[in-house]
Amino acid sequence: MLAPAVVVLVVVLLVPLLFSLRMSLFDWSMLSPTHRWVGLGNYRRLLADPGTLASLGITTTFTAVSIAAETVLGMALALLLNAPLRGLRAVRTFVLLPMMVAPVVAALSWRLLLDSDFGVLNYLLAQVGLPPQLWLGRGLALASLIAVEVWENTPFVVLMLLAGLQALPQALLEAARVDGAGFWQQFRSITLPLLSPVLLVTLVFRTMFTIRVFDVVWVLTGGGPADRTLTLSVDIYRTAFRYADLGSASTLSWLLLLVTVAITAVYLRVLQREALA
Amino acid sequence: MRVRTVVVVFVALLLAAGSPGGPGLAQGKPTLRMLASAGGSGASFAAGVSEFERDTGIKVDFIQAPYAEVREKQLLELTSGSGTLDIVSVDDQVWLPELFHYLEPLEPYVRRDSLDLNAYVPAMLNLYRYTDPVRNQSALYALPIRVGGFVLIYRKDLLQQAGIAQPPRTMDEFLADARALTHGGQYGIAFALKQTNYLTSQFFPILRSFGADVLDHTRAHPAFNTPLGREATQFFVDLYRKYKVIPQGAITYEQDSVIAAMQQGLTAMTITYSPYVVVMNNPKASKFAGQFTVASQLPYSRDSGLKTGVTMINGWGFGVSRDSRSKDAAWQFVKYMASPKAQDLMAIKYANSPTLKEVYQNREFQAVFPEALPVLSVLDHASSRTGVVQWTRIEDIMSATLSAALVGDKSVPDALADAERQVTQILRSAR
Repeated sequence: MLAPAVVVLVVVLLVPLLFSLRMSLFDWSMLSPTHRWVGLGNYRRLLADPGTLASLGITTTFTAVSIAAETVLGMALALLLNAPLRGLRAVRTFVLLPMMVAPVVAALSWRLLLDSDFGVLNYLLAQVGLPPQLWLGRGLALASLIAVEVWENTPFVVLMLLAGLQALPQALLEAARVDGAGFWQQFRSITLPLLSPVLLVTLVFRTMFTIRVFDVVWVLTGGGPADRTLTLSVDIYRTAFRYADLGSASTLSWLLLLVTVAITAVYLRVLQREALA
Repeated sequence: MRVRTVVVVFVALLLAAGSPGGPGLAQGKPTLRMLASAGGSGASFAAGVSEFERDTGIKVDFIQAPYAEVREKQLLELTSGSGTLDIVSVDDQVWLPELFHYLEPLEPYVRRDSLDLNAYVPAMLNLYRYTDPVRNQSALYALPIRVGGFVLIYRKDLLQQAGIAQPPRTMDEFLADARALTHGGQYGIAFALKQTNYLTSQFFPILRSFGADVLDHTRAHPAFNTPLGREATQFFVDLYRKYKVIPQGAITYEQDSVIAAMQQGLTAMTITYSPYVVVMNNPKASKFAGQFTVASQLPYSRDSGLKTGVTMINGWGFGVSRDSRSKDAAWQFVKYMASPKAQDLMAIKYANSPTLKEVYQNREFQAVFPEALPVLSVLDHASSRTGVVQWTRIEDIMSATLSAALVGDKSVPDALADAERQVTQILRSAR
């Protein structure tokens, strides 16, 4: 019974993965019919390359700040939407809208909004007497990308946390209220600990997706200005499809995978500790 | 029994999907197959393809895909030697170094059919000649089908109001005019300064009009970090940082933003692709339709020893796959698409940038593209990208270099020295 599932798993998951691992051990160019074995040479070269290290740093910053902002904002919105207020059903649908827009379409829309000369944001600033900003310029490009990422993905965090909040044992919260616990005390001592498994799963998902960010960066900045927003995924794309260097691109992909696995392992460890506690 | 049925079906499918020109023959004529870049070019080529099918009865399986996908799929198909592609799209010197191994040299076909190559704009034809660096043999690998170049587009009314009698002929005049045209929220020049390969595409005509180049004549060493190269780069950066004759928001501009800046009256001059003048003069989209025109030359630096600016041209050519099983039919198609009939049709009705000199003289074409003659005059003095396999990577390095200098992360000498080190390393590692 299990055999078809195993075959599908091997064909769909394992074969491409192992093939890319193999490519990462070769000097493998699409332009050349022969491929030279280099062992760990690609890994050594790329880990010593300041450009790759800079990309790794940018990707880490982007991921950490985006996820922190999404978590705080997502939690706040989830708590708000969990409150027994009228009209929240419509608000819930509205909050989820950004998640339903295709990332490229969202990025293109933001490109129009953030345009320094013809964009809506600078128009609004001008209306209140503030100077225009170069939203995708040297100082603000990374922050703008993070803002778009947070805008697009906070709804996912809201969705997950709201589901978690609605599954919490109401009796416990009720008892705390009767005992005179305030909102903050309830949140810190009951809601957050009980919600932590859901929160950690959400963080695992969001980290895995955010660390591979491509669409938003490619459309809005293309990695610039001056490579200041060059994330690893954009670097992988350029290396594979612009330079036809599949060996280096596979190596970068494996480095990204290893970073993701390391972060996920930390999350899972925390999750396990929480489950045992 | 079941196994045999599966095998029979498999073989039948294999034959049905078989190679063009072989089992795919329809009424004795082959079905040709090619990939082409989607968008404006794809649309105009599709019109030519339909006409070819009507005239010859030869079917063309014409597949359009985004630029990067065309490159990737073509390479994969050609390197496999499967012969499934008969016609190959060539983005001139950018793709030729990686494709020429898989293309038929066209000289024997040209001789056999007495095709007059002098009918083409010489610079455009040269885009598809390539010298094999190992054998040191040069050949023509494609015919030019759609080639455009960078020209100086300007607002006639604004230059007139500023008392500027004619468009700038030298870089000094270009700067002086730009400064005169920069006032009250209006800027002299629009450039797309976002870190893309379009940034470098705009910069190369300036670099070459200062008498410098990206690589030296051996194609083995960088040549941009020379006194003239530094002068050109400093000039380009100063237009934005020092003289501020380019809108500060241009650091995030792409091609479409340049067109918008011109159409909305934010800027007075730009150096961009020639077909954009038509878009700028479109009354439905432009506030200043009818005011845009093309200068008959690009500005040049007096220090360069040149007598006119040197633009950069690029575009699509079609070649014949070495592994095609229908080479003659493929050549017939390539020749057709480069013929006066197809070139006229595509240029007049589908805004294709023609490659035959006679199309520029065609009254019908001039009626839809009044700037035809000045554009031809600029494109006559053209250079192309340098044909090396590492070109795309070099272009990305140049783009990051210019971007760093434009935002002030690095000085021009530091940025160029850094780029020179990177390009040298890439060229060396390929040897």
